[in-house]
Amino acid sequence: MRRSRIIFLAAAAAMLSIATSASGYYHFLHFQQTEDGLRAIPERFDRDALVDDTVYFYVSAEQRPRMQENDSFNGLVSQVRQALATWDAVPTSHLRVGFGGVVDGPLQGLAPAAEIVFAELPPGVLGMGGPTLRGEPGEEFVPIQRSQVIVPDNLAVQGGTTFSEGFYNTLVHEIGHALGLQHSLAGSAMSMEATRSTTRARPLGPDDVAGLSALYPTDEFQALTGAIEGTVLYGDGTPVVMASVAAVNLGGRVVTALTAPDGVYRIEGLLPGDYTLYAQPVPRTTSAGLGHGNNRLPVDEEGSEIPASGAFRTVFLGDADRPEAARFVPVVAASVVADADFRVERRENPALLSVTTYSFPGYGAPGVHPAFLNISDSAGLLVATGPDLVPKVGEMQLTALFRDVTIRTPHLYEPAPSFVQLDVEPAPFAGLGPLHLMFRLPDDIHILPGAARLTDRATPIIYWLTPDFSVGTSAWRVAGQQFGPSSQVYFDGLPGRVLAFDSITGELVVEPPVGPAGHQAVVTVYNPDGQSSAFVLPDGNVIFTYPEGPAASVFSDSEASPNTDQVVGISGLFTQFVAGEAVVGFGSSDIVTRKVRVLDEFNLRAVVSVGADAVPGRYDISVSNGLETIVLSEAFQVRSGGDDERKPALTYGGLINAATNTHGVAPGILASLYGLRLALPGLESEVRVTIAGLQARLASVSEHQINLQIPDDVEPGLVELRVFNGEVESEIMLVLIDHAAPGLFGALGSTGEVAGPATPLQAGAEFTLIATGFGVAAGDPLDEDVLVNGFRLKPTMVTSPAPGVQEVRLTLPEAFGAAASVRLELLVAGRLSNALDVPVTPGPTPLQ
Amino acid sequence: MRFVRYILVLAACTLLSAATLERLTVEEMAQQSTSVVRGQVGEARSARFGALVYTLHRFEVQEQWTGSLIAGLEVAIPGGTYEGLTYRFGGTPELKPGDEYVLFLWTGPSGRTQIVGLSQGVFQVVRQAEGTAVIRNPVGDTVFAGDSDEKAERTVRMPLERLAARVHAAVAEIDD
Repeated sequence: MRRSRIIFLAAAAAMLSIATSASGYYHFLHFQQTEDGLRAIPERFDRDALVDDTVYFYVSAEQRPRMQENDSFNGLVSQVRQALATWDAVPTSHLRVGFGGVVDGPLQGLAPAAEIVFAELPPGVLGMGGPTLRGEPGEEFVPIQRSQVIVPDNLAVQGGTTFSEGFYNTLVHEIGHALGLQHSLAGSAMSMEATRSTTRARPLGPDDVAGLSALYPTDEFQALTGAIEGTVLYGDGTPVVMASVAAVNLGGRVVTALTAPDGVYRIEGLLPGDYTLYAQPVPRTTSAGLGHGNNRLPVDEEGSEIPASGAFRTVFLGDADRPEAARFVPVVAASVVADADFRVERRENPALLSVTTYSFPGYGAPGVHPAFLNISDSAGLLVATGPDLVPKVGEMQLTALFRDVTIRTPHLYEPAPSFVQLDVEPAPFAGLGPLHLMFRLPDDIHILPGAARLTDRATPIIYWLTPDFSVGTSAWRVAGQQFGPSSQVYFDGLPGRVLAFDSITGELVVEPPVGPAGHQAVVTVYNPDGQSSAFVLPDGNVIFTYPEGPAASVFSDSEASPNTDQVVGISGLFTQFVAGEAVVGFGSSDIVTRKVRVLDEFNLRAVVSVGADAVPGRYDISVSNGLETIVLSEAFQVRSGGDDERKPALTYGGLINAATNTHGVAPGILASLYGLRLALPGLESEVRVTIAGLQARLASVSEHQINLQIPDDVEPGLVELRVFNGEVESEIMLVLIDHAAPGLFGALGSTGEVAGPATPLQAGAEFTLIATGFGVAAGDPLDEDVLVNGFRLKPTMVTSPAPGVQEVRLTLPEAFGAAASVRLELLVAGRLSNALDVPVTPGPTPLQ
Repeated sequence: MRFVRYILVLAACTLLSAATLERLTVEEMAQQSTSVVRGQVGEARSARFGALVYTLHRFEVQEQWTGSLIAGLEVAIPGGTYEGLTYRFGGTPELKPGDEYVLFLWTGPSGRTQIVGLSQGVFQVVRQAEGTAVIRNPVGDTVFAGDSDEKAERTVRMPLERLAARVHAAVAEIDD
């Protein structure tokens, strides 16, 4: 196979850093003409307006949907939480996505947020979603104030069961819109349903991850991935607007972008490696007001829509009509490969608009989409449908991209001639993963990413569920076939905890998630390849019924003022709070839960941030735990600001290690505490801070900051902190005390001067580190090491000249004198401090 | 045949950036509508129902093709300006005051009247110079299913009478 490589001059010349404002994916874009060309301004949430970088989604209970008999609102909420968790788990996006609770009325609050609401939708409309309310456009982005996901209020008729994979995938898709993503042609979660190939087991594709990360990038995203940019122009040089350009690597990862009004595209989020690129026209819209691919059209500075261009022949980079002849593009992390330009030929309509593929899971079950092919079988069957597919079947040939898979000449599917049958023969070593198909027509090609997924096992099936008393009273054994150690068992929308896989019987032992007494949950097994037992029985054949018993209830009566953080205690009766599962919500985007600490199955503490704009009044508290959601009516009160104008207000996370500026704190360390009204004028000497009931030693006090030493005798763990500002005591703040939290303030040379460029440390001489955070390890030399450029050295002496301060003395080995500087770190009880980079100088030359 | 029904339903769904739609033909829309009317769009106002803001367009019915006559008809379309804030959904149709349309309408249990399939159920009436009327729908070939005079990139036209005939035939099919 001959493959030519291209090294782009621009890439070699520049290796540009990735700009944050450019949009490689297709977001909701506004274009602005600048001296340097068109500038894309995406709509996105403003991280400065969010608490903890988190956008919260609220589920409206104002108009609860009618549901099918074996379905429930609790099950729906659990699916929503799972769909939100899917986007929250994107590690290269700084945007966190949280569940804000159930709202029994219009969502209150001014902070940016999103709602999932139920509404009467006319026939033909299954759901709606996306940004609905925007703030004033800025130079970098247009802030999203509200997004809405609208689900039919009659799920018994429209939309299906909420525990189904289809409903979950639709939620993931619509939530993606709410976060600022539009459609792509990558077969990903943000692709239209007809071509989407994601599943619950693999809910996001590389394209989705790249799209969200490009909009909300972390430093890691920019450091670990690269980008490709170029243009798509017609032969006469006219730019093609909204052409799809896809980058595919040999592993089958696909990331796409659409061209801007000037024909420029930029694909971001590419892992280093070689990529094949192709440009393909996007299917025209099926709705007024939208552009190709049913994407909202880009707008100019006046808000006028910029129309999309017409169709063209699909082409690989290098003007090739097959991947083998295409030019490869090498991508390097943290760099941009430029000038990957296409020239395309106009045509009236695309060869094919879109193609949907189905496979058959067996057992007489209907076809499923996305499709799967088991490479253990020598031959497999797909059926395909799409506009113009059947009339063109006689002139069509199919090939697989980068896979050793043969597709026989397609023909009409005899049982249903409106479909096309594809006979697929994967080679034994075709590999697992996505299968991308290329439809070759006499005058054009069409590429369908993720047409099927190659797997090595058949569809899982559940037989029955029986109690398993061997591992505890709450364990159940799931019998069936095609299970594996990585299979997951879902109860409605939530996964149970898989305790074991019995390799002899092929059974799974699972602990169901917490659920309401008497609740009936549909049980489904999902395999990591994406196949599930719902393929054969979409409505489930196994129902798990939670034991009958008293209904769980919760109690709380808390209040807070605007612009404060507050710990809200919630107690339960017949509850089973589980750490990591229990979440607490309020009916306002101005009141959000930053953290939940489960103390035991009946008690939890929620750290709640009440925004400055929170309207005084009473708010519902909703507690969602496992499959159960309980709403406590008007249990949280926001007081008017005037009520607390002399009360100290503590900033959540406002206790900071004085040396590291992180939240890691330990007994005895020096720390800074931040908040409002921490000291009232003239009463500074009366200020007291208590931590776990022990009074802290205060170093300095001001209205917004207290520098203190955490008491030596505080036991590590979750403890309460309070401030008395001379007149009023604050609410409780929960603080996690670690065993040690070492931090370095600086280093002193052998003569006592602070090490710096003018006074470097001398190799071979003694020096001293000024540190804090030894915690309960203080004074135990076995637990303390100094790392010099990663080499572990034992201090010669550790002393404490002042409360909370340690001096660590040792000699800098002469070998380090060869370097310009050394990196110094402190390791105490397994915890690593911040690093100090300190200049060094060689020691005195010995006399000859 | 269960299989065929199942995959046909799947194939008929399409997701918009703001709406998940089921592709509908003229006949399907006629059969799922509570009324199909021709008329003129009047003034609009906004209102909030539950968590959603709607724009309510007055619609003066000039010809009732199917269903019972609705007095003081207001057509609700998601989105609009309410209490100083503008809520906008991509993909929702825009009705221009004074323009003439054929609308496929559905009145739900709440009493609100909405358009079937959002943009799919909106047909603008264009009066031509020679006096004939054609309707056009920006959605295109799906709803016309090969019965159009023009199949351009985004807009398809057909004579008003032909659309009326298809609607009546579809409704008659149900009545039979």
